[in-house]
Amino acid sequence: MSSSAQPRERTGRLVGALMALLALTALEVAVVGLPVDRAARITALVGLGMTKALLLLVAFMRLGREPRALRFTALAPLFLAPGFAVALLLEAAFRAVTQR
Amino acid sequence: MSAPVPSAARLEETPAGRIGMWMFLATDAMGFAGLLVAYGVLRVHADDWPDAHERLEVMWAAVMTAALVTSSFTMTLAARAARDGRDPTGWLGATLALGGAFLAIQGLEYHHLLTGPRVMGLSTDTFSGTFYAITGYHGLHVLAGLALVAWLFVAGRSRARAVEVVAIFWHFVDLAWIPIFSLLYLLPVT
Repeated sequence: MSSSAQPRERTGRLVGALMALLALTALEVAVVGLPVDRAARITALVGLGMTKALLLLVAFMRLGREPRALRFTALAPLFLAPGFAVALLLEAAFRAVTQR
Repeated sequence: MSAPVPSAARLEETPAGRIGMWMFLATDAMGFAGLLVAYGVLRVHADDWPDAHERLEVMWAAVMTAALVTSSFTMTLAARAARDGRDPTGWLGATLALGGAFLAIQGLEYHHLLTGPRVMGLSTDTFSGTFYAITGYHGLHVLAGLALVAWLFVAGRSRARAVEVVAIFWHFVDLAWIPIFSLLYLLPVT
């Protein structure tokens, strides 16, 4: 590959990532209005949101090119926070059920 | 046989500013996480929760999202231009315009909510309180990011390393908006 072709290819990847992010945003808005079960819509929204976050981290933030220690530092809150959220929401739901 | 994957940089070779920014963002992300988890817990505990679509303009929020995502793209191109020794001010200007558009729409949204036909003040209910707290906290991050980009815009190409560090912060602002958009604007009640 010639040196002049490489930046063009990278630009193409970036434009592709941007288009994908915009399309995923449009899909999110469309999913909310679908006449399907609420749980299915929420699952779809979570999936689309996580895909967008991953795309942003890989394509724009270039997380894969950072040293391993920095990658763990950046990813730890991303995995810990949803974990805490799930634990707290389960606890809240458990309390709501047992209080009835 | 697959093509070789470019290896990641070594920590010892990574500029201190870059390491510092990632460390800062890890702690800042926990701040956002705390707010979003609080929102989730309050929503689960609430007997009644309003449908966001009845109060908020989802289409305008989608436009805000598009502006922020596109600004991440222009910021990436600014960082690449700075790395290659080219002038990044054009891309920085585009980032400033898109970030400014995001804040302007948010300002209009607040104005509409506070003075419109169905007033939603800070203390109207739990939904409104958490909405203003989370979007306001994020808006302050956008404002801080815009101030940094404006500083780079004035400084020009002599600040190549700084452009890369500010780009990481700007992308984080975009990243933090993704769950806010999903949770506050889109998550269906029924």
